[in-house]
Amino acid sequence: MRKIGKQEIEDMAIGAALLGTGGGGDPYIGKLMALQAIEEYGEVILLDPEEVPDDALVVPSSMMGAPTVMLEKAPSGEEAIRAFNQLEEYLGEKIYGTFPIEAGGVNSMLPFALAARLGIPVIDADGMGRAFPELQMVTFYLDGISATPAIIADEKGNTALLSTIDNVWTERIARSATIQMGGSVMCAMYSMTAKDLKKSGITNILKLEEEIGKSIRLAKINNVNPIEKILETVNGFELFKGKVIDIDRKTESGFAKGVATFEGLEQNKGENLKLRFQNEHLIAQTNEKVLCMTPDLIAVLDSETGLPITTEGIRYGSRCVVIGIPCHPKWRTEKGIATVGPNYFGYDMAYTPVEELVKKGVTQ
Amino acid sequence: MRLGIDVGGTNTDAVIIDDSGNIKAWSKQLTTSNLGETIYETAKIVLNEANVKPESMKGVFLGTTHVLNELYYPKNLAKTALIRLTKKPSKIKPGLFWPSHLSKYIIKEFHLETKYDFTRQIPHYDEIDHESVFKIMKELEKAKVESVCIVGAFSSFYEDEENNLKKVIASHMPSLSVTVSNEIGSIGFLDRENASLLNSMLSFVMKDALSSINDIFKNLGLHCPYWITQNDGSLMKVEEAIKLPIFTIGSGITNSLRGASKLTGLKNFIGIDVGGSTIDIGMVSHGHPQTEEGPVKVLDIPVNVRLPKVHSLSTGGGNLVNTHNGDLLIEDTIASDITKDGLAWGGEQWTISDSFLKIFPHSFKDKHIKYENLEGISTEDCLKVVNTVSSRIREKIRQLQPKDQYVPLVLVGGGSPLLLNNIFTKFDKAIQPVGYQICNAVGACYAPLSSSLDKVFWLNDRTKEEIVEREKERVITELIHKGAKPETIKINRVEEFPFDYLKGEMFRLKIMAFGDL
Repeated sequence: MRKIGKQEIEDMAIGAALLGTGGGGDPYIGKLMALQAIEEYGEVILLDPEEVPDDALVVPSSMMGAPTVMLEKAPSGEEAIRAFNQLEEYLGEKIYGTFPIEAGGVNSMLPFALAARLGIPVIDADGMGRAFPELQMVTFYLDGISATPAIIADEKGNTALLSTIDNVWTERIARSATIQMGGSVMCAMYSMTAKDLKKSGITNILKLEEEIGKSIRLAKINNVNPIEKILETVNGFELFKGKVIDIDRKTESGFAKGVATFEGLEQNKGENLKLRFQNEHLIAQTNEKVLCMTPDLIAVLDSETGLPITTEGIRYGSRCVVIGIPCHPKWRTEKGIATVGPNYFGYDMAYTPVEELVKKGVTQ
Repeated sequence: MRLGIDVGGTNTDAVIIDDSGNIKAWSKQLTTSNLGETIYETAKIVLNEANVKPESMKGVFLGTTHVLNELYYPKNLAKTALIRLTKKPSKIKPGLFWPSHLSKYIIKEFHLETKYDFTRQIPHYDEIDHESVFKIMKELEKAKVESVCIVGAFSSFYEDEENNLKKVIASHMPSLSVTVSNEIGSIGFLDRENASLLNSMLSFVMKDALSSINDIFKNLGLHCPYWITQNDGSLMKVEEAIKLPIFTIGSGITNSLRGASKLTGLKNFIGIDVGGSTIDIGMVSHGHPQTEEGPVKVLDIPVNVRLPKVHSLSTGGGNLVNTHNGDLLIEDTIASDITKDGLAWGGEQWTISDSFLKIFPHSFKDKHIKYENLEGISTEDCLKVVNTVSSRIREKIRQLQPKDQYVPLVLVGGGSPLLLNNIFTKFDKAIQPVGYQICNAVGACYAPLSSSLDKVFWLNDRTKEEIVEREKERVITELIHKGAKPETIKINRVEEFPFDYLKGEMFRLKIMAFGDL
């Protein structure tokens, strides 16, 4: 058990941006909500999953829709509480604690804002170990845990209770409802027992997130290379060093699809890297070979500060280091790759782990 | 013939430039608390010296760091009330994590429920809730609020609600100045709110400084149009500047960089402007001072207005140096007039300039400097000051310097001789152009006109291309209307941003265009 105060939140927010692999929404608004809640209600208790009784009811708190829209709505925080209360009412049971559904991006911070207000603990686990765009893309889905009963709540006071035949249908119906409800909603879904969370979740991910943020912060203070420290912390690989020479964004089918091109610097001089993204970074490849592919994590870092850069924040001329991080082993199973592998996102390539790609690469 | 005037925290400079780009005359005067008078005196001197007829002047171009200085050292900020138009009151406090010397000016916060929604149907605008508004106005009166800031969720889609509320308040309380966030920034509620609040607090600053400007120029016989330079280095009308002071906070360095480009003929360089209270370091590429927007910070406050991409050190030539319990301190306070108060000039105050002069005598060609006055301060301490300031500057340059090519350094500003051959050598390719002391005023003379757009659109049965083309035309028309020569108009940037995780049909469009007067 540990108490989480403002400094921990600041560090986690930076780690969350890195695990967001370019997407997941800027943790900024979530961070402010968490900081404000901690200021008002005091520090939040963070529990190791092993500290939670097996039969306890635990529910992640998350947002769905466009983070930009959520920011614009200036959320009151009541939406998340309403979603939780209604789910408790429906299930007839108190919720013991909450956790992030995804450690990457804005959703990593929202449970802290809610936990501070409700006086419940946050549990150190998530369902992705990174960020993904659709709500069936969680390790819970791989183990057959149902997303429903699910509550989604908007700022106007509307709530919807969903009960679906599977989690892909939850995604479809909730996504359409989100647009009708004004672009962003707060969710209470994937309710489960702590036993299930320990088995199917990715544990101690918030601790990792905090360590990432801390290593970037300390690197600056101690004037050491932040990139090296990050790679040590996440067991990652430096894929490419370069500067952005082209950024092509498309609004195809409503997703932030696009390609960023980097021109190599230093050891990568003479090469180009193409980074393909759809909200999150999905594929990093040079002219000759693929260097990293989903579900392994691809993060773009500022070469000076080590701070993660989102796809929206990629600017022409920025100097960056692109790194690859092995995803959680749960994603490397057959169902895992079918759910979030390159084929699902429309790339005709067989998933190969980043550590193998870095060694030899895959010729296209 | 053009007259450029730059009102800095310490000095006010004026320059007259003829149509072929030659400097006809320049003058540098101390900035007094009466800005109007300072402008008048400085302009008069330079007009006399150039011996040109006022009627041959095509335009007056005024740049000032006055508003930014006010945020660092508030003297004249307005007590501000915030009205948020959202569905539910937000739990995030306004001014959260602001420096306290600024957040204390947010004295009241109100909430009104917005009628707007985030759906593609543009809602029918309902009657304003007069009863609630009157209640708010009573409280505004009671609390002696001086300025009101209205921030509506979604105001980058629909401006009506903010604008109508402003109309009601302005008609009942005409003495209040009212800022509406749709005029300040685009999507991003909190950053827009921050920028709008700052703008609101600054209501008196530009108004007091420029209210007499009409008369001043008339008295000087100048009947030409006059302009204020804004953050991106382009021009705005005086009435606009009074209404939107936040848009001028970064203009000083932009003018300086543009001036440095004109004076050196260089298109790519790092500019270092050494002033009395700050040292600003920025980048020029392809002849344009670089700007950035969102997330940018002003005094650590995130705002979504466009600002020059610049690193500022709050240590200029006039900052005071002190020893405290054996520790050497560079203080935030500055000498009001270094050529009177500085030790080297026979004054009582130990400044950064004095420290540099002790280590590098004869940096300034100023016969009033008496080096014996510096005997009382220790060489060791002065060296420490020099080293601290130099390493801070070098650190910032290192951040800006592209790794694959070396771009030259251009040193401008009144304090730049302190650095030129002392901490920078020929090896650094540091250049100090003739006219370095009046670089800002020169840059102001060449400021272009600009027009920009940053809005969110629902497609609603139109194609994206249709919307982009229509908005491009609108931006160009606005530029021509402002007085730009059509053949000089260049669309600098068209950027589209999709909305992540939302399969809706909307996008954010940013267009930026420049044109010459």
